[in-house]
Amino acid sequence: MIGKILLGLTLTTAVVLKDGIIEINVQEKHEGGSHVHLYLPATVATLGVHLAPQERLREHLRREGEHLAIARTALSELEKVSDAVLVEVESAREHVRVAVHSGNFIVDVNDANDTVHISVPVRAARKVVEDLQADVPTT
Amino acid sequence: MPASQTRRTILLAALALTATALLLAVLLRAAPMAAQTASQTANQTAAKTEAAASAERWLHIAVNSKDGDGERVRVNVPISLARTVLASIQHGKLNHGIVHIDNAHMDDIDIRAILKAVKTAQDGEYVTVEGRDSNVQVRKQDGMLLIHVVDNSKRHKDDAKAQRQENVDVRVPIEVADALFSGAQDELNVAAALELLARHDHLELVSVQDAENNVRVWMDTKTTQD
Repeated sequence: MIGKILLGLTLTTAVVLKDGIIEINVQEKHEGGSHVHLYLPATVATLGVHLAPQERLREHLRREGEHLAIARTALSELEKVSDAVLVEVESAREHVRVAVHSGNFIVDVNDANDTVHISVPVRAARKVVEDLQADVPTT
Repeated sequence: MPASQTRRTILLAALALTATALLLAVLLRAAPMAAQTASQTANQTAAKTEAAASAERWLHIAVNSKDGDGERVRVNVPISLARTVLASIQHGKLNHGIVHIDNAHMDDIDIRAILKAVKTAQDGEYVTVEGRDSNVQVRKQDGMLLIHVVDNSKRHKDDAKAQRQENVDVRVPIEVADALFSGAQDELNVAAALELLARHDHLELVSVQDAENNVRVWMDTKTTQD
């Protein structure tokens, strides 16, 4: 029994570590504002592609196929990029930061209404796009 | 000579000999180490040079707004990423790294003609174009194309005297400019220009100063703008 639990834990850890973790943290600043903080194994996103309704997915992909190719190229290149802040916008009203850190694509937004932090493993994002590309209808 | 003085002389001589022997020993031991250190330093320098040569080139854009909000924009992009992504886009006016422009003469200034004139000119020679709203001065120096533009069009439109003039300075290696205008009349080959640009280590490319913003575009091997 303990062996099975350990095996399960090991497999779960392996799955989580294989593709990394997606982090989403959204904090509304107004009084009573909600706070959502999620950690998701990036593998879930890959699986999500296969779980999405195929007909609707194909319809979207038919329109977005061109953008997927660009996204795939960009993500493949981003995988090679060393840690860096790619875009930063600072003003009295807001602070937006797009960066690559330890293989994660990170977006931080801090404005009058919200604080948002999103971190997505670039490799996992590229895999999702590749999976979507494979599903693009040829005709 | 008294015996005590003789002993002192012998002692001093022995001390001098010992000191000399020690000094020689130190020098003899230090010499190979110094040679080794020099060799290591040379290797490190060579490695650094090699690293710099193979290092990723980054394109940096800094925009500082002068308005009350004090907006600052910083963009840092690896040139290889920009080039690869541009080459993959075929949408609208962008076609695999080539940009189609509607007005190839850019307000009666024929860039290709200017480029052709400057290429054959000696260093320091000027091509000056005086337009209704702008003056353009083009110069060649050490393989670089230097363009200085003073745009007064905003002053005419806004009818304000102070700080309405826009100054633009562009510094581009001639071969990069050549690659940029290597396509058809209504095209800019951005991908080819970026490829050649990436062969340089550090370049100040564009500086724009007007009443609202200061813009600086440059490239180097750093990932940050510090």
